[in-house]
Amino acid sequence: MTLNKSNTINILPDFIANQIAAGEVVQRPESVVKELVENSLDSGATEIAVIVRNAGKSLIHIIDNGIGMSKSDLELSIKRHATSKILTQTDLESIKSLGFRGEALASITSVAHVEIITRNKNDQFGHKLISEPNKPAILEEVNSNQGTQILVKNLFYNVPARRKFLKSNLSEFKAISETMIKFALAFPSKRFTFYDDENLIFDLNASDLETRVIATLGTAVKDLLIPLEYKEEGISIHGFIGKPFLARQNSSNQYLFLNERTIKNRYLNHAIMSCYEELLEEKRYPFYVLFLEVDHKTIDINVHPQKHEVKFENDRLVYNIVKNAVMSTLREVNLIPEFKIDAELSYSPFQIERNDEDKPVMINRSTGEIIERSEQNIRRISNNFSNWQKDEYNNTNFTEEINSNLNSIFNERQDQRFEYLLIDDRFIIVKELEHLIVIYKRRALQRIYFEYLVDSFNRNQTKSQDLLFPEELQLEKKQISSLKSNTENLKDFGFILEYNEESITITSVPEIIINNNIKLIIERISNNLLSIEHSDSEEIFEYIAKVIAISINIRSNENKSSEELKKIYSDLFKCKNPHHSPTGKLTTFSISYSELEKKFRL
Amino acid sequence: MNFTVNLNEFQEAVNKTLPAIPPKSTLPVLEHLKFELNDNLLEIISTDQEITIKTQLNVENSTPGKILVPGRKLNDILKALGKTEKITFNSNTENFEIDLITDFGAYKMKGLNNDEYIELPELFESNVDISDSSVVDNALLPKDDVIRLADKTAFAVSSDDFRPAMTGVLFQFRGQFINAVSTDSYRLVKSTYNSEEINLPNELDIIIPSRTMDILKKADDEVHFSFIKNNDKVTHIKFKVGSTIYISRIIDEKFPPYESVIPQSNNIFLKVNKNQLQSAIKRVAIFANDITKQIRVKIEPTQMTLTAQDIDSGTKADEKISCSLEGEPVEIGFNYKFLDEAISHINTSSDGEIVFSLSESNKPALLMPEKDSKELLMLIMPVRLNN
Ligand SMILES: Nc1ncnc2c1ncn2[C@@H]1O[C@H](COP(=O)(O)OP(=O)(O)O)[C@@H](O)[C@H]1O
Ligand SMILES: [Mg+2]
Repeated sequence: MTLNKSNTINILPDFIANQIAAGEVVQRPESVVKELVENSLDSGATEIAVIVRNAGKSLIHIIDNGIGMSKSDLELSIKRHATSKILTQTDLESIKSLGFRGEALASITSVAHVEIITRNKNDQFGHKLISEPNKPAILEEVNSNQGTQILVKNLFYNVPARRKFLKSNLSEFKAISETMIKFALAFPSKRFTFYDDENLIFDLNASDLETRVIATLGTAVKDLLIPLEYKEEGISIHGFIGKPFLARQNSSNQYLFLNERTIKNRYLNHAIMSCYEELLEEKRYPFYVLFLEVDHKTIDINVHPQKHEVKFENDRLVYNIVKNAVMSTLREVNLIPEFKIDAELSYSPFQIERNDEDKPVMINRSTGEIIERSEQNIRRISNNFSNWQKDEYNNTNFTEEINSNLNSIFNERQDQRFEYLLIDDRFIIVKELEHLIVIYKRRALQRIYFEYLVDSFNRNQTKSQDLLFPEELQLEKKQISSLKSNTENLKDFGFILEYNEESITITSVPEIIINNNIKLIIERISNNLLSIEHSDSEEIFEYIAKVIAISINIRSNENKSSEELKKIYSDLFKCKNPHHSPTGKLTTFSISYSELEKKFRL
Repeated sequence: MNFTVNLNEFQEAVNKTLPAIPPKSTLPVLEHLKFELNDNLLEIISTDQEITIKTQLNVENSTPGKILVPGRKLNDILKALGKTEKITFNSNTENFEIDLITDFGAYKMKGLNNDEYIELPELFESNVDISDSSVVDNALLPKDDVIRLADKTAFAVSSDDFRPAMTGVLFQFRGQFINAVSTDSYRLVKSTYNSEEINLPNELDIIIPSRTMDILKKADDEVHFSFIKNNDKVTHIKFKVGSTIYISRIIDEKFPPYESVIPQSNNIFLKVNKNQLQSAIKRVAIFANDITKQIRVKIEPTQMTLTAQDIDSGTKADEKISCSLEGEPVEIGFNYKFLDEAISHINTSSDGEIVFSLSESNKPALLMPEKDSKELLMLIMPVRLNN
């Protein structure tokens, strides 16, 4: 953050003023706090105290030890488009300070009683300004410390409609403290003190980021933080991402900063979330506190009245870099799931090993039997492989029960009336004569897609759809070569790729993934291929099928009608291995009415 | 502010402004309509900061004033009022209460002070000031042609937020004609409007968001387009339909080079009855695999055979319809949804037939109302058949 040296305020010429996004700066007490703390930060303060009373509705009081204002600056500061931070068009194109519109104090003084006490570091005395809407401001000389204090009283007292829109004290206060937490995270090197009336909420001394994160978000996060540090194409990212365990049911633990400014950006959020996709259940939100630093010239923050949104010159590049950053960090700590065939095998006694001649063989761990596989059989074998597994499930008590239930269902099911229910967009409940079947929708679809892919691959019947506009995807060299060495396999799935120096061009995709994020899927395939470099082709082909199956975007508004639910149910039980998702997670179980009955008898 | 107005006209005007009322806004004022009344002329404005709408209507017995009126609530009550002739609107400048009075009832609701509204950028007034008079900066298009351009293209727009350019329709103004183009990378539509008399802007390309296209689809009068520039770059499109003015952000992205993917030398031409083909597709599709939605089309000199097969469920369907072929027989695979959607957006020639133009089975298929159609062209990427 740099200041124009003397902190001298200028009134912006009209042509710049008009370019500044129109809109309301002050909407609620929280926006006042935000604007005033931004001003304090812009003024170079190292200590900032915020005191609110009645959730800021009666009082917002801010004290900083920044550069302060001279008398003339103080007078100008409350005029519209008065700012010391930009002078020219070029400044507007590369905004480094948090404020730049010169609107905040003007707006606040038009809807509240405001008192500003300030002393510029070059002045002997300080000055006090008392302002009331529609009245000339009163200015007097006072004794004060260097820095600025601003008191905002009776916000919106003269705009009853606005006041009426304010929410309960609880939620207005929550909004303020959320904002204070964001500032505290964004500026660990500053001291922030925050009071609700007389109660100290926090007093955070200058520290490093990790200490600050733990101090603001709770000691519970302590051992679950993964430090992240990444740089690519002039964009640098640092901060912390959370282990999956830290994920929550809502996005309240997600903090993204761009050049120290808190931002909302659903692309970038998506970039991060997508890395966690296999680590988390649906509707779980990973923890992150991430700071992006990009060249100020490549972004436009002047697109939203509260400056929450930004526009990137090249948002796809940023998207990819953020994703690479998170993905590679997760991979370093071995969190990206290696759903090797082993993951599936953990549910069955079969394991692939290499024999003396380094040929893959399958070993039944429970019997010690060794099953040799011939190369010609490679494709068909996987079908049988799944069948073996299924047989094996029948030997365990748990699945035996399910299977016997299911068998009886299948025998009777022609002449029964089924009912299907979708709960929380996640679980499908099927009502049967004697029991309920519960299906995990997403996992069930993954299983269905997976077997569909395996089947059509084996029958050599995957369908490929050409793209009218081939898509280019930037990748690392090793990712490219991992794809390249699997060209034939990928082609059998329907992917046709062209390989360039530092990117690939996607010209054809399997029909099953149209309308999905194609690039994401390819990138995942390449990453996963990298991790199984030395496997035989059967593993590879199952691998690819898995990545595709779990990556298919299941839109939540789809598959809702009873017909569609029924279809998922019947497709699932047509699968060779209906009980587990391709990554080995349980897809379904059943519970009999008598078991339910028992639960109530306790 | 008071006025009396014909209920029907009032309903219509309010209804026009609704597309820019966000369902749930972070700025509650935006859920309101801005009413401004002067000299018996009522102006209504709505905005969601992407699209801004301003409409006007004549009222009687008015006293001037300004007020913000809850948009959806007003619309709901007006709709429910049915057949009353006239309605009187009275608002209190002190407490912003609004009374709606008809012959048989009175309804009260709370409005807001007009000063609460967001500052609207001066989009309605500012117009591009082009000193060179040979440059045309606006276009007046007949209603039916606008509806046609919008209707033919909007359905093929991509819903993939990661390719923002494709989430809108490209309008290319080229002096004597306009191309409207949309694509999702699996199909592409190009619809053209030709004009002998009217002068259109030259060499102007803009991408109109699909929400704005939905408004254009419902145009009920001729449409007068103009463009709002900022730093020499068009940032908004403005269009006037009757007494309503719409201003919409445009999508500031690069549209893919679509010209290069339209095949120029297809040498297989196929004529087929549209209705017959559509109903055949409908029946055959029932038997297709519902994951891939694939059907095969085998084209021979006098008949085409549609086949769908789902090996998983063991179902299969075959249907033959007659056609006339010029060129070599060919077999080609389609996603039936894409095929059906394309066909249903083609108006047939007088004999009820449409034309396919193809080269080989893995190359894009073109569909059009007639050979060398200048008006409409649909392109579908086939599904590769690996026998
Ligand atoms: N806490 C402060 N310390 C020093 N100067 C301040 C402070 N708050 C406001 N100012 C001065 O008042 C001007 C107007 O503030 P504001 O209305 O928030 O506009 P902006 O922050 O966009 O410049 C600022 O440019 C700055 O010069
Ligand atoms: Mg400011």
